[in-house]
Amino acid sequence: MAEVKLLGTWPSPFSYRVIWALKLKGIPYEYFEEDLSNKSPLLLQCNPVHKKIPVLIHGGKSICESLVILEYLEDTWPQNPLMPDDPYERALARFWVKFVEEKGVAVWIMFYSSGEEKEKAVEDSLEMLRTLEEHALGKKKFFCGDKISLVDIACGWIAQWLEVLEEVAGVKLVEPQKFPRLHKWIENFKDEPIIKENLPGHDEMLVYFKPLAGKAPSR
Amino acid sequence: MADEVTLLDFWLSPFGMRVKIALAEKEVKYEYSEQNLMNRKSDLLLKMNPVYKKIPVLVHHGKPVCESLIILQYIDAVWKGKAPLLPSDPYERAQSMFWADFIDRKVHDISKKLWTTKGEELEAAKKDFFECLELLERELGEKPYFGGEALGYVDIALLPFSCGFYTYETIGDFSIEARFPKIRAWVDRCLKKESVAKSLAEPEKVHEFILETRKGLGFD
Repeated sequence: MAEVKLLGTWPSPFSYRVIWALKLKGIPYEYFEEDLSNKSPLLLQCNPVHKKIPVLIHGGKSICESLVILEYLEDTWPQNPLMPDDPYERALARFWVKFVEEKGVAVWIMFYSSGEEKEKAVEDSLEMLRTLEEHALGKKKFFCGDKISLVDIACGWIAQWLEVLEEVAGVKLVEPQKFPRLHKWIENFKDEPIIKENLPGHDEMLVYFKPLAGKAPSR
Repeated sequence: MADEVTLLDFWLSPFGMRVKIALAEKEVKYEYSEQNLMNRKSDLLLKMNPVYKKIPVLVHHGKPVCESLIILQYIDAVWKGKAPLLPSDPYERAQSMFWADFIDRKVHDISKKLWTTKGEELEAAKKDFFECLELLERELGEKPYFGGEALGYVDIALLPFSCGFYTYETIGDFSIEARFPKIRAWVDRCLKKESVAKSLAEPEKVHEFILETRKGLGFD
């Protein structure tokens, strides 16, 4: 089996998406921590278009964009499937992955901005979370049923990073009484053994994200 | 057994055109339902896409599939027998998904700026647009289609934006043929296919619509 390498950065939820999928499928890999202020020649060579992490390198060939990587892992290693079999259910799963990808950005905007822009971002974030609560999450343990799927993995940042961003930005978005399903999903997700063992530390994240609050990120 | 397929669409939408090309490639019979987005959104649209309230929506056996690229993947999985849109090899599939994602992230927004901005902003938009097309032309290389020997997912993702090329060239005062001859040749090659020709909006109608909209925005 050709070797698998992952280029990532420790506080990045996009990196963690790939780590979770690799671990859930039992795929051995080598991890390389990138310094984004000094990008490695390997990163620039493997992702010349976006120059971003995560990048998966399998047998020397590189795959970029976390959601594309997740689908690649699903196609290449079908064991422990992370997607439903049925085409319609798959389309629904992909819909929610795209939704959280597009609309979830509001939470990060809230974190990095101030004043009016921040207020608008808070509103947008709440709307996004309300949609997940009312339309995406049913009575199931996870988004697609009893087992973790790509939707849970794509939303994984809500389980750990959101709390840190809320704390540093001084805004509470997910109040348990207002978002009972989401709150329960967060608990279930973090309790899954493989996820539990592969989460960045809360305190380390606070230290990392605190100085970044209210300032637009550098590329 | 008849497949009940309905497409909720708006004639000008590049995202809707993607779905029309895919359905035509697969020779799927469907009912076309034009949604007039200038007026109040129809009850059907609001019911079928409550989250985004947008077209296109593919309704198959009463169940809605939303978001054009997701619809393409759905069509490819359900109507497997003919004209595969995505490669079967996982790595090639990933490359197709990467480029379609690139097109979604960059081409739509940048090309909108080509007719909604002026002066320095327009020059910046042109620069971004040229960079996009340069990358895409490099990816196309010497292949007849982005999909290789046959039209595929990436071709279908990009083609609808070619309806606006005449408008962008006219407003921005540049020539795509002169700067990106392979892309121009690729568009012309694809237009020879009936599935593409009957699915894309006519550039003249697009041009007319955009000019009217620009007047409303205070241009010219």
